[in-house]
Amino acid sequence: MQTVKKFLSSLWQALFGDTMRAFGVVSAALLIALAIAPAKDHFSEWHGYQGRYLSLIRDRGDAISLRRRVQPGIQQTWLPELGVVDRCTTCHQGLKESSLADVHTQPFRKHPAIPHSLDGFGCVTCHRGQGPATTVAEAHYSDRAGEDPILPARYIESGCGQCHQNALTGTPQLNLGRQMLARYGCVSCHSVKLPDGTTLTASDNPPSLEHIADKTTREWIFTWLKDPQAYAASATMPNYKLNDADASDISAFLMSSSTQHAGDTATLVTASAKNVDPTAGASLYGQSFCATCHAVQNAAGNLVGGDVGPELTRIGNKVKPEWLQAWIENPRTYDSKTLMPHYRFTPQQVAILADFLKNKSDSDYGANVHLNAATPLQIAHGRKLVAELGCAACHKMNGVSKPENFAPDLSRIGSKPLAQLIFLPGMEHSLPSYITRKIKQPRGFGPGLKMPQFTLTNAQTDALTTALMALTERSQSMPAKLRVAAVRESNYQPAGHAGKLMTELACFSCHRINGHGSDMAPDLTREGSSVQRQWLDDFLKNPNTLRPSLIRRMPRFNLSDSDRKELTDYIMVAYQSPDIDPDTAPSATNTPATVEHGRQLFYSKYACQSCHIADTKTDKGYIGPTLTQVGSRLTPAWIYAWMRNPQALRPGTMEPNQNLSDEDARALTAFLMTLKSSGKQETK
Amino acid sequence: MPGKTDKLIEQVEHSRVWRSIFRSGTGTSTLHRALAIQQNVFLHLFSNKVRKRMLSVSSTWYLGTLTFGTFLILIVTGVLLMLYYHPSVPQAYADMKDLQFVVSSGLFLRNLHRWSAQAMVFLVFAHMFKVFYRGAYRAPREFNWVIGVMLLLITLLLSYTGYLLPWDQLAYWAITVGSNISSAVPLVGSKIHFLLLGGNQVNANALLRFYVLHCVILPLTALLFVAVHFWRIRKDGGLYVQQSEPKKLAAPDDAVLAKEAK
Amino acid sequence: MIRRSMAYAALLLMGVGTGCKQKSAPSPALKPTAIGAAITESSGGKQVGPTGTALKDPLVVQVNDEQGAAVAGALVDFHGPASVRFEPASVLTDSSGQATTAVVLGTISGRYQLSATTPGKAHAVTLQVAETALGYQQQLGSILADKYCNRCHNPESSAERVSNYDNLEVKPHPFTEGDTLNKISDADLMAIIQHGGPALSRSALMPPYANTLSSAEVQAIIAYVRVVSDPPYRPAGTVYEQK
Repeated sequence: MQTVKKFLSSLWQALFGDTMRAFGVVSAALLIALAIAPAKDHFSEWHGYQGRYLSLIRDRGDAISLRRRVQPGIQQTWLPELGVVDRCTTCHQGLKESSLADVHTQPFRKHPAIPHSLDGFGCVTCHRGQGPATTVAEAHYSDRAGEDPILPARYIESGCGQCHQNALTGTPQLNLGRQMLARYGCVSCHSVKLPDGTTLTASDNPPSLEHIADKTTREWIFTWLKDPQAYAASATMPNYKLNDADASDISAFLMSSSTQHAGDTATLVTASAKNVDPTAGASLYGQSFCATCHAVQNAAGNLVGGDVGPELTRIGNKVKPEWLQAWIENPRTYDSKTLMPHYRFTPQQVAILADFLKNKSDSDYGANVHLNAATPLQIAHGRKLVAELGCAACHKMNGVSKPENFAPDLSRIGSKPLAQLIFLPGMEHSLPSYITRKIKQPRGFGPGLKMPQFTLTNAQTDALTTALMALTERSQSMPAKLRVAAVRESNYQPAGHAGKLMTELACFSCHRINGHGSDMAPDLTREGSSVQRQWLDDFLKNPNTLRPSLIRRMPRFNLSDSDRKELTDYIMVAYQSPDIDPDTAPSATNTPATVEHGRQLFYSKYACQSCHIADTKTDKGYIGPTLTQVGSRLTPAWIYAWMRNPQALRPGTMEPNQNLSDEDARALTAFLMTLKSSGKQETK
Repeated sequence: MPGKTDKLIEQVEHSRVWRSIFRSGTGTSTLHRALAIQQNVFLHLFSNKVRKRMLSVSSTWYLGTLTFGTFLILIVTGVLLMLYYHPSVPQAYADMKDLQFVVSSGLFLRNLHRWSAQAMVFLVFAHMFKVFYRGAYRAPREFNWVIGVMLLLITLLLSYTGYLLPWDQLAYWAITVGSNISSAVPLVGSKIHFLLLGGNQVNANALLRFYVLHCVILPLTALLFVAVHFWRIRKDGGLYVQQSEPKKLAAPDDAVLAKEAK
Repeated sequence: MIRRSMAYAALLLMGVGTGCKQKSAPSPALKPTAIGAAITESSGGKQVGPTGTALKDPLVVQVNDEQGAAVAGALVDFHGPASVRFEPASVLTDSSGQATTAVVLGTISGRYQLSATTPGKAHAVTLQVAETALGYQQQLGSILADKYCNRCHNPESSAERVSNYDNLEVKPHPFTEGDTLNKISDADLMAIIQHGGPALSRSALMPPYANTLSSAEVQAIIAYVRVVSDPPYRPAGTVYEQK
């Protein structure tokens, strides 16, 4: 102790003994202390990055102009109406320099080309992260309550989705995710309110269970509940991971609550399907183009067909034969809102088709399922389970009503604070990883969770996460002028008897008219101005192939003559377009010289034969519809209008708008109108 | 060299300007040293003389001095922080971020303020315990003890009001809990709650009220009480020397006498 | 006493220092049971995907010995630029000599040179694989090309779509044909896409798209063409060497 005291006192004497020396020592200490603050600024992280940027550009060809544009110090992008204070450009100095596109080291790379200016939206709007920060750790990885770590590149489209409620070409993952939210029934349980005030509605059309006992057996329901994907790999219903007892009770409840359907299945005339060619079923199935909407797994295990209706690979295991017959005969008696058209099959055809489908079964499926008769207690338990698991959120059923506020609202899930999330050990602490894990393992976060297990690929899960990450606080509260609205479907319904016909034939399941319908088949809004009456009549009698390499085809309905005439009349009259003057380019005024001029234009100047076949002997272009009989099909006014601007008549069509002059268009129309059918139309 | 500088210093000290500022002049006589304290507006609150025994660390551990020292640090750093801070609801948190990232040594300033606040609370309690266990509250120092308790309350209130100002989750919920505690007081609880927050919710109004309390009302009150506290130390007979130490009954030996003589 | 306390402090620091230096034990290394001599790509090379996402198909490589027989149990290490992830990065070949890994592309668009290395008899044998990552503009170009261009420009047909390539008298160049396309400047590509074949004195079978696609969309297509061309497209750079 003594030596320390002596040492300290001698030190004190040395430094402060003399007045002048004391003054000098204190001054020196003060100067050093004063230097601390500027030194900290000088050796700050961002200053180092700016120095490295300067040495990077020093050796480049355009060093001088790059150097001139360098802005030292802390840079910020301040957008008050978006709540953006971004200091990212302090370190990311080369963001706007086009000559730095080849630099591969961050943070000096040029920002990849995007359709928006960086100054107009800032960085954090799309990339998240902590904008006001000037250190890497705080800007990129801070995850305190209210702060978001930077978004991984694979979910970047979610940034676009905050303003763009419409489907953009450049955001395929976001579009897929939004589609999936509707198609997989997520929004039946989780409400999603979009920024424009509308609510996202489910698009998957789950069947009503009110008359389920008419349709199927309790054993099938049991096997289905245990694993929907074992019945149909493409089924969108998730797996509720029920044990045998629960599945048995639920199936018992559903069967007991089912009521007799009011339709007249008893009076169904069923013809015998015996004495018929064994391949008749397959060919009728093919001719009716059932594969347009329904998929079947072929021998190789590939799914062939569309996804509008349920998969039919094992339909024989599922439905009762009399139900199947009644359904094929007229689907609307069982379900008035079905998308399936009323084909008007003859009783013999119904029997053939039903027989064919009945053979689509798997003997292993549900082979060992034997259920004892259910007691009232078990039925009551089943009803309780149905209410708890929220089955009525998707399926209409007797005795259990659709639950309200069943699952958490997801309208702002993209802004969920990390402090409110549970992370399992080993999980990355970020919102996208939580959402992904929740989708993949919904019940893994604790006991008593009810969300069922979906079977999705990684790409699908990423798409869903992207769509959910777009539902942020910012998307709900941003100024309306920045929002891009989605294209809303109209609720147009055709009127009168023709309207009823079109509902029965389910035209809107494939076609779009006046903004309502599906995109599978052409838009018929202007069909009256487009086609000739005779052709339309013939087409409805016997739909043939117009566009060569498509798989989907229009089915053939057995329409009666009066029905067909009614439909044709309605389309020709009601679906006229005011933009197309029917008297344009009348065929009567065409001279042979004009026709020849049109032919030359077709083959030489515009080389239409690259995509269209006008003469089967010389042309091979196989992209657009064949034009060999276009003179019998389309009206000259339509052809003329189409030549002048195809995208105005059918937005998004592949046909290039070649900016034809009036003269060229008339000549081409004249030529095309000479390509008529000889007599009977050839069918494909 | 030393001779020249000493002469220079003497010249400055005898100049008119110097004598106008420092009236009594400096010197080493007892009178000079007493006048230096007495005629200084800041220093005259203190006693002219202090017992040598009270200068050793173990007598007071300098707790009161340290408390006042941290208070001064808090005032200086606080004023500097006020230059960057807006007491409005979204802006407050953003200002904290700006302090952290943009202002030179902003993070140091904020951290120093926060740590000094924690230290001051600790020191104030320690000082209070020391005064109690040493018996320095007894007559004639009872009123000074009361002033001290008032200062304790003001310190705690300063700490509480300052806690809300960053407007982050920690701040918001701490003040919510605290104001809900205050509403549990019987009879007048809800009125206190309303008075404290300037309303029923912890929102922009509460923030503004807490800001004014923290930066104006409470510091001024504290300075006032500190002045009285120091004045009372002087008037009550200086720093308290413990009487409870046993008198030296045995004969003092030479070493002790020699030390006493120094 | 001071010396003693300083000695204790020094010991403490040393203890802490050595303790800190000791990293956690690495995961049990894969133990290869065989050595191959050659490594080839089975599938999964030359894929195109958006940045930051996983490639659709896994990368499968085959390790053979000198006679060409498959080697099972050989160690294959996958390497790539910093932001590329392999799941897993080191694999032992299975009984058919194949090693599979899923590739997650990095965040920078462009061509990635990945390598798969196996320790050979004398020295390591390496296989280079190229994968392409598309940024936003290039992905938009890819989608547009798929809709408007690939029917003619891609000779391969798929189940969903039959190619029109064989129906054309004058064959269009596939977009991967870098030998031809790299020689055409961006401005010329813009001209031919917007104004058709005759703009560059080529066949009129190529229609003009100036009124169908916006100029931003055409630029996106050009960006896509540039990134998928093989050999890679090198833009006209500055005179000085770039580091």
